[in-house]
Amino acid sequence: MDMKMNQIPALTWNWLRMNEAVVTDVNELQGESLLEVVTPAGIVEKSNQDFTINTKTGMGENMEKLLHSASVPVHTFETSEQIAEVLKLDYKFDGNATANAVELKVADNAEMTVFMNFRSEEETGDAAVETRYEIGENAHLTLIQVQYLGDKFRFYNNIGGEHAENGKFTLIQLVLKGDKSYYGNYSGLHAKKSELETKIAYMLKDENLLDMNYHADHTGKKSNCDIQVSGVLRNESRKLFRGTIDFHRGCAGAVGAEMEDVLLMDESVRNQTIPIILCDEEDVSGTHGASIGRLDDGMMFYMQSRGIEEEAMYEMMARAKIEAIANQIPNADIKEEVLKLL
Amino acid sequence: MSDKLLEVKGLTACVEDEDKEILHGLDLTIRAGETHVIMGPNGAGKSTLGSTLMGDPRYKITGGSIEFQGEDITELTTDKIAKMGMFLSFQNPIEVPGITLANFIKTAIENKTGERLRFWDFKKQLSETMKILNMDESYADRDLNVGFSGGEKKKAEILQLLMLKPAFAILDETDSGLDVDAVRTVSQGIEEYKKTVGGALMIITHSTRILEALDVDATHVLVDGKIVANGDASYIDEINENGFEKFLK
Repeated sequence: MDMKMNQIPALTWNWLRMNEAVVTDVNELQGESLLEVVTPAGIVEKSNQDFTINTKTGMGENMEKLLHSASVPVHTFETSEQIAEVLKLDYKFDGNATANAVELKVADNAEMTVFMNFRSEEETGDAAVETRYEIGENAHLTLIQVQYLGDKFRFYNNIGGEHAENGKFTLIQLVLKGDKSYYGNYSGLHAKKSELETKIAYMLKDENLLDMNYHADHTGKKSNCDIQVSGVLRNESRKLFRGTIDFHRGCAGAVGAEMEDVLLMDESVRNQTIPIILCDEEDVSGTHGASIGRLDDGMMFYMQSRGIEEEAMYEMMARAKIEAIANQIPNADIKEEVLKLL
Repeated sequence: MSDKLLEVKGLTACVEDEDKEILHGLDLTIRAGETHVIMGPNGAGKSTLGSTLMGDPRYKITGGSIEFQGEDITELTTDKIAKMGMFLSFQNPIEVPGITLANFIKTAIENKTGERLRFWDFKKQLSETMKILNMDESYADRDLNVGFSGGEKKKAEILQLLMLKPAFAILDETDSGLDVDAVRTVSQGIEEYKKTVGGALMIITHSTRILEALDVDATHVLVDGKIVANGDASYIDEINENGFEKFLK
């Protein structure tokens, strides 16, 4: 079965083949993968048959239907307190095509940090995780996701959620290992001063693919989004980043920024980006910046003059990009755990 | 001091993409532990000489040979030359965003030795060395040379020199653009290198301030890509007094 996902909200020329991802030979998802949960006091866990949060998601309806067809329970974690400890969700994907569904609810004035650790026991397999969130007034949800999967693993990581007034979502994603990865996030910034902060870092090699679709949907006055993507491409790897800042009429004073920093290590890599700023409101500020390229000759000579080989130089640069994002993980234990993977 | 460390014979070189020759048959011999000074007017090819010795791919060697530590390095790549023990302190050190000064030095030492450094041992050694150079230790965690003042960049170069302990260091106008205090600090670093490592130096400079505390073994005057005069340390004062005019004829 072939399937379209990660479609941008405003289509561009078809011949660019960037409007959406077309995934071939999609396997039917069957059953949940193993999930180990460490739930701090103050967070309540429930299990539902279906999602209770109504929201769009970054990867879109087709992906939602695929996951829904697996009929897996939805694990809901909610809090009405400010929780300093981290909710840990350790996924151990097996070689089958599995699905996991999670909801994160942070009530008004509450705070929650969630660490999702995506690991696989097999080199090959398919796994899909859908995470929906709901952030109350003056609340803050931090979601840290680290992907470290088998070299032939295909992974779908779909997120979507809604913010109340002054509700903030911080999303930190590190894509360290795995073959084909499809990522998407939709943030409904429909309330005043709602905020999205996204930091993504990736390392791709061989024939790895990372296909991303991030959509910040602004209708709230003075809402804010900041999307930062940083990574390294090696060998024949491919990356496609779609980032849409969608300013709707009425979101006066909204600010959106997306920034990309990509290091291309080989001429055979493919790096594609669609930064989109849709604007239906006059009083907004939207920016996009990109730094894409290879190391310049002067920098290479400088590093080599210290005895650093070309291969080690690129390793160092790649590690630095991941570390820069990992260092922003607010929890020291998790940060250390992530840095050990590098 | 009889071991030949560096032997350059009839070296000719041009910019990689251009045919214009910059070095025209240059000969130079430096023995282990010696300190040589290269002086010359602007555009004489002093920095080109330093970069070419270090294997800078922006320059093409069109003739002659370079022997270092008894091996022909004329065709060697920069990283291999550095691993053999040659070091170049850059006139304009490059900014490397994303890599901290400490990480950079640690990676360089590990690449050179092929062994992983114990973190605390390295940190201790780095801290002690930074003290010698009056460097604020916070610089260790800052991106390499990014936002550093001119003086701090030069200190960072000398810090690398002291940490990497090469057998031969080329200092390309390390004193240029520095105030009196910074020159003194950098000079202390160079003295420390001579004292603890005992390596050889090739100092490219326009001024004598950086040389005051060093025993100079030889001075070479480079004009139009050739060494036109050789002398001892007293040559430096003579050049400072009379300039290069007599060598330009």
